[in-house]
Amino acid sequence: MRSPRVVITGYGLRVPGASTLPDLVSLYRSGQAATVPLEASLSAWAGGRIDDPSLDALRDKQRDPCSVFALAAAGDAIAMAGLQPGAALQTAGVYVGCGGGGLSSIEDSVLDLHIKNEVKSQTLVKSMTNAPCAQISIAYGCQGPTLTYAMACSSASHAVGEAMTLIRSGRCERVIAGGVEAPLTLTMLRVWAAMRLLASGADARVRPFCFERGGLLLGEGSVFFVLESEAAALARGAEPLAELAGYGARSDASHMTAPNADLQAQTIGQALAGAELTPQEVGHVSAHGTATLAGDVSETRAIKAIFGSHAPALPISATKSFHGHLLGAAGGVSLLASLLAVRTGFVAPTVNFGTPDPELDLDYVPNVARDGVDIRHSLCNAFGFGGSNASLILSRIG
Amino acid sequence: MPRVQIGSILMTPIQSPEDVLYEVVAKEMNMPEATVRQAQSLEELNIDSLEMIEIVMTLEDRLGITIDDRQLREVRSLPQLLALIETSPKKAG
Repeated sequence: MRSPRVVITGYGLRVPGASTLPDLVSLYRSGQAATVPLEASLSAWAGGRIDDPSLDALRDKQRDPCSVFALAAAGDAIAMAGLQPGAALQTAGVYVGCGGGGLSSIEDSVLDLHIKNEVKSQTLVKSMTNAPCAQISIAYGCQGPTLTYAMACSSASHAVGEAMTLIRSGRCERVIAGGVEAPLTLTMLRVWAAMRLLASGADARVRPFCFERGGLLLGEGSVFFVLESEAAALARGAEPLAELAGYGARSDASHMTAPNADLQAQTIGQALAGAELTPQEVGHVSAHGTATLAGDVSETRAIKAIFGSHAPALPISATKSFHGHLLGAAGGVSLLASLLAVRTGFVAPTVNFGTPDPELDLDYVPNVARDGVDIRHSLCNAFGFGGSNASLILSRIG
Repeated sequence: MPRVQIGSILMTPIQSPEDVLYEVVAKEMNMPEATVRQAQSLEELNIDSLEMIEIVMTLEDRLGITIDDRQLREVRSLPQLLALIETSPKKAG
């Protein structure tokens, strides 16, 4: 028996193509990616943009877009959980995954300095990587531990997993946890393109796990959850939506960018052990699935290594095919797909799926969503540059 | 690259793809070109995947070609890379 059990009581999102969970389900049912050609100086690329006029109310000269996205998603999560200003929020922690911080503020500042010899006093508080975390804690009066995890593409999963670990330790009963990223700047796009990791062209799409996969697209956005001990949630009359049951965190210790299937498998194994599950009890995988040549092969090998003969029976959703890669927020997006799977039996598809690749022979749910699948436990993977791996297990309540 | 006097004009001779390859690799890896030419494998030169990307992007610019990433994954030596260069299409436009 895991003690105390950690449950999700609220969630919020601002991701390309969706600002609510019903929006997200509609997007996944449509089978149409939300990535679009980017504008103006970024027009050589496609990406995942947030188009939500309600964010204007949160914009402020001290807030980079990444803080605005974080405040919007965290605010929705807190409201859904029914948390009001007072003791329950005052003792809460805030754990945020964020890879790059205020990237557009940094870029603007560098241009201002070199072109106009000007520096703005707000640049530091806009651009620091822990700014979204600080903005949430200030906005909601959260005086518990506030920490930012900058672990590239696994940042959000580490933030959620570490929050779960904190709550299980008994040191804090409630954490606002998730991730955010706002990477759509000319510098960042050029940097990712220079590594030959971006799908090329303004009409490019993300095509995970098929032969035509040709790299990722960057996306912006944010996903947050309210995590609580089950006892704390029930004591204030909140409804547990799902149990966060397992967390694996392992490092490749081998290469800055090359994936390591052995360590990915160990990470998944650690998450299963933490959830006290056998591989056969898992019914769904929300994949990292970046659509790079090497990454999808490595993740497939890791899944096969852990699940063995059960692997072909697992539906695997790669939601980056819809939104692009939200980097520091990516693990949060993937966890939403796990939440849909265990709560409603809805399985998000992997869109833009073309020709199967002989090296990739599992069930990637090509192009069409599925309903009514009996899924008690979902595995959610996130693997980051630098070799950081995080896997979460989300379980149905009851 | 040394320039040569032809009549009254100082010219840079056109390099073969092979010469460009070894020059680019030697520069990226900070090694003598002779060492690079003698190497039997990429592993022997300690070329990792990020260095390989840098090498390939420079080769694409210098030679005006596009190198296929999927075929690049199979390359284990510089002669194999040279063979890939020689069958790679010219850049569009």
